[in-house]
Amino acid sequence: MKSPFVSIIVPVFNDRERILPFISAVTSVLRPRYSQYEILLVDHGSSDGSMDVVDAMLRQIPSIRAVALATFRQQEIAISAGMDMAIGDVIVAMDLRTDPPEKIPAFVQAATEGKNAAFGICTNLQESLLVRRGSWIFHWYCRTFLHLQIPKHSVTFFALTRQALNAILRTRTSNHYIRLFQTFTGIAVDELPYEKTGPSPESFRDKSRIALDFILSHSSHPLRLIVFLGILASGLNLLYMMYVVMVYLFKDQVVEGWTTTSLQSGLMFFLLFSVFAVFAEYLGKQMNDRRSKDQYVILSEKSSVVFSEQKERNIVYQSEKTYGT
Amino acid sequence: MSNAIGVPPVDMLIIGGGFFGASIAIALRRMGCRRVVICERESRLGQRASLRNQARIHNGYHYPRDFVTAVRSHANYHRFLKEYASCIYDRFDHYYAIARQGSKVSAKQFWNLFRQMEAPIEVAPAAIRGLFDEYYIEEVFRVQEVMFDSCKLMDHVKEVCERLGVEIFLDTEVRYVRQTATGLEVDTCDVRTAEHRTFQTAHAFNVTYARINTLLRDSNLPPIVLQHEITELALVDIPPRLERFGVTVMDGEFFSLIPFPTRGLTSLSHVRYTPHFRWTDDGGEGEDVYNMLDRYDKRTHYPLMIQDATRYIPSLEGCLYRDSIWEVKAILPRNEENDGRPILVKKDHGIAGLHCIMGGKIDNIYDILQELPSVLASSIPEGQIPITARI
Repeated sequence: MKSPFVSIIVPVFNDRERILPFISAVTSVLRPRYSQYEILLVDHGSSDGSMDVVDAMLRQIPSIRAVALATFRQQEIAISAGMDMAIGDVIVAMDLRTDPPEKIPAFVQAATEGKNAAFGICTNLQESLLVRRGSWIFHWYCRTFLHLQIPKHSVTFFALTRQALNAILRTRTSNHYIRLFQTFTGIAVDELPYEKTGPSPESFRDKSRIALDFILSHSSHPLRLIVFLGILASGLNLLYMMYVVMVYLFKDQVVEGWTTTSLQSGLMFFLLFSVFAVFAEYLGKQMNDRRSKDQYVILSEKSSVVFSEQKERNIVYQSEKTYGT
Repeated sequence: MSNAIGVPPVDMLIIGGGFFGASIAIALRRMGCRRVVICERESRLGQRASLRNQARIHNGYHYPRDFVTAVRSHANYHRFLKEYASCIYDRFDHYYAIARQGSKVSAKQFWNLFRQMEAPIEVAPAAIRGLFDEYYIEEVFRVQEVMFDSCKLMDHVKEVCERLGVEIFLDTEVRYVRQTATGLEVDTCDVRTAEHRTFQTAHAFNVTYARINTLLRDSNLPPIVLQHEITELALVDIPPRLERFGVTVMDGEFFSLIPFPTRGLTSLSHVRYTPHFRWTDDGGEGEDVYNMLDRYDKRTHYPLMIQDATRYIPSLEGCLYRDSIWEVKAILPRNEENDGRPILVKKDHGIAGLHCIMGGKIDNIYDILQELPSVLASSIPEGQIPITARI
């Protein structure tokens, strides 16, 4: 069987020290197995000179593409951009801080010979109590109020064949679609266990931010809550207004001006909350209708430029047909 | 035609028999120069840069972000078509496809610009639109942009040279140029026999494109700062159902699949995979660029080109690879980041009478021909016929 063209997508954020060892490790895994591959480094806002390290690498190591995005610190958008730009038959996304390059062939094989999609499941997760509790609450909330079963697999270490990739590219509506790959495409996924090679870079605050962003992108549910409160508030004001009228009708010695003032503020608040509820409802509608486009802006794109001397010896390392050689 | 030292001196000696060199020779002869000589190191005219390119005659569509260049390309298009009518290849439909992501110009902007310029543009029919992947391509336009057959072009130019009495010395490599009391001495070498032959000339034009610095270095003259690229143009047979189909995907020319008339094949070039290696000649020590090209391990990037192209146009899967054309390109550092390709003119470079001319686009020829009088104006030697500007 023809060896597949493999694209490796690697988001980069302030990883100056880690890039070169990682790329060397990936290259040593890819080179003996695949006749064609590319490593796509997607920088999302590094400020430590990571891209200078990459520039130097482009002169030494072939088959690398380096893209810099204008987005700041958005790993999932970086992966998303990589998915748009990769040309391979199989794409593998991975986090250079935590994901083992030796596992790449297993992922590629699972995708090409299995269900078209393979996601990693971490077996040595070491999360703090706070993160574990937070994670449980998040999963519970999504299950109960959003009716979304969030899978436990990784969203940064996965492999997709081009068919699976095409399916998700066409159906995505926000940058968190990878988490819901199965839901959006209907494609079942293989889950491959792996061990993390380093600590997760995300703190509890980072994870909370991502969780909140997810909830807000995927439903207008919190908005619904607000709409409900708004209606409740305006309803209460209506009741209050009726109470004021009752007092006026049945009580003697009502203070001069109290009725008018109370009615006026009651009416104002009633209108305010009603208008507010309607606006919130429309906003929710807009959010659901809007399709996400132009999630990222590319600042620069560079490729390897390596001069390799013509080989003197007439030796090759593969018998398959390769054009021109 | 034998030529020993002492025979009537040359007025104009053109080093490099490509399209630019030969056209300049013709123009100089028409301007009234008595003896015009071309020295070309290959055994035929126009074997290097003139042949090894996409063979596109620009009509402006390639420069949507550069209004001035677009307008001037468009203006020159019809003039070129008229003058070289016998060398044109137009038996295909040319489409420009605008990509959704990464394109710095939108379909709307593209459309508006060329409507404004009154360059032919129309939305492609549904059958053609259907060849493109909807996700990656925003819009497809049909335009008017044809190719030239390099072989026929050079045959035409050669025929004009012979008719006007321009002398062509093939298999003749110019080794160096030296200043003498009376003008320039040009030392040449026959590449077959290693026999040397010297010319005395009033003016010499170095029109050797990417190899321009080899002559300068060998003559102990200052080299010109240039960017070089080793490029590969893949040649393929396209599937029968795409027989009349030619496409340029924009922006920044992602890739083009257009006829290559000289070989009866279709050329495929890709902005990422066509350049194999890039370097700067900063004017210090430097190696001959063709030497570097010979040394380079020429492994085709065709699999990469077609892998990417099929994402945009799945039918391209049926293409059959035939060959690759390799060449060294020269770009001015000032144009490294943009699409501009002006012609570099260095008159009296290092020594009086030696003029370096480097152009990057074949259809830009008229710009340099118009400039010739002013290149010569300041250094007309005694007894030379006064220059009249009409070419």
